[in-house]
Amino acid sequence: MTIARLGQQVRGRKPAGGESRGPGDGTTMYDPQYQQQYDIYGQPVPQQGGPQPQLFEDTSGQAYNNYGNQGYGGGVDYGYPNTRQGGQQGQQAYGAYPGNMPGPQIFQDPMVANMAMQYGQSLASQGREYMDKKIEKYVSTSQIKYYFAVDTHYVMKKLQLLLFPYTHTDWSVRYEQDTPVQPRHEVNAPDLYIPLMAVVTYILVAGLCLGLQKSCVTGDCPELLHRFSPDVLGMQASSALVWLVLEIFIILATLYVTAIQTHIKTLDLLAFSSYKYVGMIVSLLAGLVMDSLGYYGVLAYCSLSLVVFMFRTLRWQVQGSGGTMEAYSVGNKRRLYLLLFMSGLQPLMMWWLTHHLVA
Amino acid sequence: MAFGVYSLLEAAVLCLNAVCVLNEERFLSKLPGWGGSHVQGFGEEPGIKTQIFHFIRSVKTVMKYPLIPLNICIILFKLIFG
Repeated sequence: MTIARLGQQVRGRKPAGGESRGPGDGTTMYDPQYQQQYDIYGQPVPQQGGPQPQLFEDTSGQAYNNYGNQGYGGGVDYGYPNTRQGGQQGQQAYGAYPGNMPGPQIFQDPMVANMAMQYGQSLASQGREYMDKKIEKYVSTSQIKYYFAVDTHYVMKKLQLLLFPYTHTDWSVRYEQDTPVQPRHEVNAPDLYIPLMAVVTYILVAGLCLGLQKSCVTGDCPELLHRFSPDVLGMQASSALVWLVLEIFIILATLYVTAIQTHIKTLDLLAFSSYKYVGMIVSLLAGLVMDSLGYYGVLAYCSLSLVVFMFRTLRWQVQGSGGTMEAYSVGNKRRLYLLLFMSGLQPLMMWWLTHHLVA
Repeated sequence: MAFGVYSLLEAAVLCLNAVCVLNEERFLSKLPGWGGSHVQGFGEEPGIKTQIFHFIRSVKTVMKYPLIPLNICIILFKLIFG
C-alpha cells in the first residue's frame, strides 16, 4: 500500500539485516519489509532511490486487484517476488505482515493524509461504478435518467397541455440520432417526473378525501365515522400501482397480439398511462369543493382533455416517423384501433379509481 | 377492486395456470389453424390468431415447470395464513 511506502520515505530506512518476518514485530513496520524480501532471497538491498518514483503513482487499482492476495500469511508469500512489478512490492509485502499496521499517528502527516484521502476517493468512485454496472442489468439507469431530465418550463407547459390540449398544433417529437430529444428541450416528449409526482399526490389526496368523508357503516350511527386510517393510505397506494401495472400489461399484450411495429418503449407507456393521475387529482379536489356535481363535471372535462391529448400524442409515437402512409393498410387500421382503445381506456380508469372516494 | 401486490401475483399465477392447463391433443389440435408455423410468409404481418397461438404455445413451453413450485408456494401460503 502507498501508506507503507510513504512511511518508508518519511521515516527513513531501518538497517537491513535478515530480520524475522514475524508479524508481531512492531519496529519493522515502515520499511524493512521491502528490503526483507530481497534479503531472504539473497539479492542486494535496493537503495533509497528505488521506491521513490512509485511514490505518487496511483496504486488504488492495483490494491483493489491485489486484495485477494493480502490475506495470505508469511509462509505463502514466497511466490510473490517472482511475479511482482516494481511498484507492487510494498503492497504485497505490507499484506504479508498483517501485524505491522502503521499506527494512527501516521495520518497527522499532511502528505499521508492527502494520499489516504485520494485513495479513499478513488476506491469510492470505483465502488460506485461497480454498483452502477450491476444495477444497469436490471433497471437501466441511463434510460431512466432521460425521463427525469425536465425543468420547470417543461412541467408547466406539459400540465397546461394535459388540461387544455386544444390549441397546441405541433405534436411531433424531435429526434436526435434515433433517440428522442430530452424532455427539457421538447414539450411533446414523455417524461416520468410528472407521473411520479402525480401518483404520490393522488395517494395523498385520496387520503384527504377519505378523511373528509363521513360514512355510516352500521344501520343507525350515533356518531359519524371517518373512513380514513393510515392503513388505507397503503392500500390506496398498492391498489393504484396494481391497476397501473394491469393497464400497461394489457396494452403490451395488445401490442404483441396485433403485431404493430412501434417506437414505443415500456417506460413511455408507463409515462402515458400515468398522465391520467393529474386529471384525477383535479377532479378529486373539485369533488371536495362541490360534491357530486363538481366531481363529475370536472371529471368529464379532464377525461375529454386527456383523450384528445393521448390521441394526438400517440398518433405520432405509435406511427413511428410521423403519420406517413404505411405499406399495408391493415397496419394503419390496427394502429387506429389501438389508439382509440388506449385513449378510451383512460376515462374509464379515471372514473374507476376515484368514484369510491367521492360520496 | 384490486387489493394489492399479492393479489396481482395470485391473479397472474391463476391466469398462467389456465393457459398451461389447455390440453394439447384433446383441445388445441382441434382448433383450426393450430399447427400453422409453416403457413406464415416472411415480411407479412402475422394474423391475430397466429400470434395468440404462438403465445399459448410459448407460455406452455416456458412456464410448465416453474409453475409447479409457484403453485405449491401459494397453496402453502393459503394453508398457513388463510
